[in-house]
Amino acid sequence: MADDFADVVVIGSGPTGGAAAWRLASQGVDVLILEKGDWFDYQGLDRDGPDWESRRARALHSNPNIRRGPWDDPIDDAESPIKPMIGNTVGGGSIYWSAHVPRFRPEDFRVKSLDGVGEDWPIAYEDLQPYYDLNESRLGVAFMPGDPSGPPQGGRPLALPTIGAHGRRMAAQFDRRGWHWWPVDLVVGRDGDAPRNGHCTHIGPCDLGCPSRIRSGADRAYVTEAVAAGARIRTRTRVLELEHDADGTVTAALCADDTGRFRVRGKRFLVAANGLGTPRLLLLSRSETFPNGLGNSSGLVGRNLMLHPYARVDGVFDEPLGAWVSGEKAGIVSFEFYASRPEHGFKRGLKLQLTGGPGPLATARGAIFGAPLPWGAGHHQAFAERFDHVCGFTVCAEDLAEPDNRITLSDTLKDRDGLPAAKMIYKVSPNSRAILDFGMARAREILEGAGAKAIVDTPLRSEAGFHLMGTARMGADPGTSVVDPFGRCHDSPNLYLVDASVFVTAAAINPTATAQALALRTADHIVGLG
Amino acid sequence: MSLSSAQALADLLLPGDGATGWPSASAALPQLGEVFSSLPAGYGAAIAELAMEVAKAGPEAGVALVESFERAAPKPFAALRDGLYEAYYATPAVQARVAELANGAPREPDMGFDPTLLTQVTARQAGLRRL
Repeated sequence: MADDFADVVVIGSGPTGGAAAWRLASQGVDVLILEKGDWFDYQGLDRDGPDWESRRARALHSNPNIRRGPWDDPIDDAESPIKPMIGNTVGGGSIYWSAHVPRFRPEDFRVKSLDGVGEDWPIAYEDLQPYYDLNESRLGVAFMPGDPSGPPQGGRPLALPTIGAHGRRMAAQFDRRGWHWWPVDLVVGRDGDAPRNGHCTHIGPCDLGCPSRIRSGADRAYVTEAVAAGARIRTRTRVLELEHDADGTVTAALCADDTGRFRVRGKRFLVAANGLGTPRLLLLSRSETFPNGLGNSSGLVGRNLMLHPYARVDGVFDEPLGAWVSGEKAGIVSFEFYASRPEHGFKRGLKLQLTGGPGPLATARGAIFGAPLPWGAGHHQAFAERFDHVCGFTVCAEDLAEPDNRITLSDTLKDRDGLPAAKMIYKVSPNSRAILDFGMARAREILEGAGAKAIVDTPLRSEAGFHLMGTARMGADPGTSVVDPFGRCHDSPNLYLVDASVFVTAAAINPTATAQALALRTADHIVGLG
Repeated sequence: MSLSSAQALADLLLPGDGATGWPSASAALPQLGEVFSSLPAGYGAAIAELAMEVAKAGPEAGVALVESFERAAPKPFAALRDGLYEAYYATPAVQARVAELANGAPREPDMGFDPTLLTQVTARQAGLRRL
């Protein structure tokens, strides 16, 4: 493949790379997107196929170590109880997401000032507010205005689907206790108000990129439109290293594809490879001047990995709940215990989110109940007594930054190009554990109040490393941060990081909307530089 | 393993139920042989022998044979059961039956969200943000 050039080279076409590329290209900037995977084959997903549940456990799994797709490289996760869940395709993680895009709360940017833990961000909620608005308008978000727990949202909300009979039942329990609950902010796509439920084939929960194209991923919401605006995209292109001058200026991305190695030069480089891939690329970009990796004079590249540790509490009910009734449904969340309180034995807080029970195959295999359904004459009756008799809550804890939780380079695993794989080192902190335990107790209260006859606890979900944050944190001080408030590396004047690796704190909220707002803001900043 | 033996064993594990509409394994799985051939190679001979014995024995004695096999060879049996369950629940006929079951559950009167559900939260300003 021949060498290439663009004014701005965007590495990664997930939710944030796609957003930045679209924003730049739509303002006339010459953009080239480099993506290690390919366009996602929605037809090949065949959501209507009856074996959807089996495929989701393998080829469509969101953990690349399980999925082992053609674009996936191994990740060394032996030292993390929580496994990475990332996409390696155009659209990135938004191909595998739950399509929830809540905004961080204003308090999330002032954690140190308010609660004495973590750090304050060098920007405020107000800096991102117009970009949250823009992002929601591009994605097409259904939401209910007026949530007391969040800031006012602009724009026209698209219509939310029902929360279902099980949602109503749980909502009544929150009301009985005077606790907060609200329906989720749900991406439905900009045409989400077009005929809706006719699209839904009722094959599984709405948490995988929806081939009926209602649930818009970044491939559709941003990358396609970036290309339409003039951006170019090179798929199946792996970036091996960022070559740079002695002053840290990036001169080229050393790339590889099926034809061999080549260079892509540019005036500016944006890395949007997620909280795992971005620090890995910086660590791989070592030189005499930067022996510990590009942008790493602070020593913080890869450090302070924050996840959202998840626990789960399921309730088993005597009667069917209605969670699997055909048609789209929105989940509900509670931010009642989101903020620090003096009476809590921990700092910061949690989100509770209602989920349905296991699918048909998982039910047959014994999910929740611990033993497979009996074979023989009693099988079908037992299935009827278990299926749709379970719903539960995930407890999402706000993780605080810990330097020893980190992304580094593996000593044992290599990618297809012979480069060290990313290694994830992570332990659940005592604070996060306390949050999870507290949240599980509250979830049990709700479920028992709603009539659950049995409760099943999952204290920590392993397949839950969706949100990888903080591994190249933002700050004003080059000694304690990797990038400045616009995402530009302190050590590298033309290198910008535009994903959740720049997060200073994690909140207890899905990070995609905030990461996309940051990416859009960085794009505008670059346009302003000329 | 003959197809009839495979059908006899599969239907013993997942029999049909005409009253509730569940198909038997052999009715739902026209490619039943593929399920057996995809089991781990080391288990094939024992499972084939079990299937042959079940086919000869008939349903009642077959149950006893399978129960005995389950106790004596738990790993091969688990592989058989899990493989059969996975294939069975991935068939259109079974998915249709599951959907019928699901749609018999309580449902909301409207497919859109009912904003009146939020009356109490809004009135109390529950979860009010700090800033």
